[in-house]
Amino acid sequence: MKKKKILVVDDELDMRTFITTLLETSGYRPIIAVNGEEGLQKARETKPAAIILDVMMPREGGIQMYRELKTDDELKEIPVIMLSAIAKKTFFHSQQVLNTYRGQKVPEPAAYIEKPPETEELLQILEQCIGC
Amino acid sequence: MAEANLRHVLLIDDEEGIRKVMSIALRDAGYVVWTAESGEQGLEIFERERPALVLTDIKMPGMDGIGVLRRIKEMETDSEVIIITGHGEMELAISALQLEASDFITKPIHDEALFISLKRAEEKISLKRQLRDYMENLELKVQEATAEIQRISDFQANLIDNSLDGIVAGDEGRKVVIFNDSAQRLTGFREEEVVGRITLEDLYEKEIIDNWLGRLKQEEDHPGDESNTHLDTTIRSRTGERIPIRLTHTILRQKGQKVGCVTFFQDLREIRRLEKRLVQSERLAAIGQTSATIAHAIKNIVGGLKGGMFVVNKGFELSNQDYLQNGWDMVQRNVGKISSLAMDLLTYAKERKPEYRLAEANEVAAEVVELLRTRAEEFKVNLTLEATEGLEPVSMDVSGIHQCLVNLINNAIDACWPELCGHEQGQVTVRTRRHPDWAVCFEVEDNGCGIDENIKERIFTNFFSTKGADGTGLGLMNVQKITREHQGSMEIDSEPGRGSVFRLLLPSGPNREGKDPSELEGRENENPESSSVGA
Repeated sequence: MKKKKILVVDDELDMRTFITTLLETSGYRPIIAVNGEEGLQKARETKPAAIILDVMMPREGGIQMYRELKTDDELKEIPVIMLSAIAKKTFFHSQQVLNTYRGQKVPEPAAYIEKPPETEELLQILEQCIGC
Repeated sequence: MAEANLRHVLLIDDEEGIRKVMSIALRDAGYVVWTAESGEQGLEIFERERPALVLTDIKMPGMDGIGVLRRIKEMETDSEVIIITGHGEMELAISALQLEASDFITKPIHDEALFISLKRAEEKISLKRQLRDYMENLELKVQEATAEIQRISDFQANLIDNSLDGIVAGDEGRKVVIFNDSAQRLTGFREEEVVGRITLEDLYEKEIIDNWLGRLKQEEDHPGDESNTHLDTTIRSRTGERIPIRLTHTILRQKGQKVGCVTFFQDLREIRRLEKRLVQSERLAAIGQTSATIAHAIKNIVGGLKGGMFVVNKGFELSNQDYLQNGWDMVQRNVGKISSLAMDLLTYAKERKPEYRLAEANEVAAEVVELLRTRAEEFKVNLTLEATEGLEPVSMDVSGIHQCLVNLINNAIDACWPELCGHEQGQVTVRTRRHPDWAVCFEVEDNGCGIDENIKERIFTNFFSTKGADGTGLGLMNVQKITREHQGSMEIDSEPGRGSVFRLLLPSGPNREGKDPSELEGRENENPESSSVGA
């Protein structure tokens, strides 16, 4: 069976190294992007099975990229796992504020993991997301 | 003793006719009259009735008028005696006046002369009585006043003795006249060793005496200028040690005359000990506040380390050289992060010893800009330096200022996150400038998200971070601490959504007083515990 492609979008080298190693050694094929711009481009090119996305990134930030993914008809079905140092509660609150502000309804991400992620937790959530 | 009635008269004459005629006249005039035919009988009546007025003939068989006068005066009453004399008895009359007779009238007696004489005697008694009352009253007043003065004096003595300030007063010759309990406790001198024995010069530094003399002179030119100045000086203790004190003094006056000088002082060792304790507790409180933030930062680094270990383990497991290399790099980077966090913390928590030297502001700024260029590029922020040429070298702790600029520029780069501000192109400009009030001004400007008023108040006061897990909340605190050590100043101009300008202003010279600021910090550190008051 062909390895499933997982897009990892994170500006931090440490996090990229950790997650790609984890994915590679767990039977996935990670694809790397260092910012939202590159992330969107690679998402379109590779059509990954899931996207692991860092919220806090310089330039094209995670939040902006997420909104673009979810408003792109080609990409909006790809499950996104949000990864962030921001507490889950704070993140969802900010999304609600943004929804109201921009007048557009963006669905909640498939999963939200606070940094630093635990290996087992991440793999488990990933399996769930791809399965659904 | 009841006072004799002024209208009671004793009339003493051996001639019955005179007694009869005169007593009628006296009774007619409203007097109460007793009569006696001899000196002896007269005295008897006098002792019994104590009349205020006595009229006595001078020539009488047995005890004569002079004898009566003498005896009555011996009795120490306020009664007055009027002598009745016959013709040619002037000499007797004079000796009677010498014996303090009130008056004399001559026979034949005219009513008019009699009543004038009586009236005079009455007035004399009245005056004597008033005088006596007045004297008695005066004594009472003096007693009251003395008690009041005593009370005030006790109160003042109490005040002086129980004052927490040391109080030492000197007379015009600057000899010590007052040396209160606090002064004794502080210096170790006993009152009896110093009062009247030593002068203010023996205790205080020459400059204080000169200052005092100067003020004496000045006050002659400008009387009423009693302004007290606080002087930090020393006082000599019994063992010859010079104890640091804060002193005020004033000139003592009595009826406008300068009679001496009084000095008040506080033990600076105690004040400094308390100040130091306050600074320490503030620092501890600040560290306490930030420990949650630090814990968060450490948690992130631990995450990185764990990730690194995971990757290294995979490398071993699968004999994959790339994993080993990548994982080991991660471990190293995170060890680097934790050590820089520790350095940040140490800078704030520990007294560091700044090293001041003359340095070129432009060189320092250029070094930092070069150092951070890579980071700026990574964040796609344009970092530029605009140096003003020809700036004088400024005395600074170069590594401290280095650290400040790294912090300010990093903050500026972070502020340019498009997520936060929505700008297309982040721009951070570092400038060195001249300033009218300061030797040099370092300026870091960004076009980032800006700081709203609410946050502006907190960026220095709290260990406050707007960067979530990426910030320790220590950066600006350290900047402020280092700026203060330089006796410099910080300025912030910021507009939310438009960007911020941070200015770091440094004074010329090591500091404006010409002292090395590190000495100020350092001196407080000497023997922190041994400087408590020996009370």
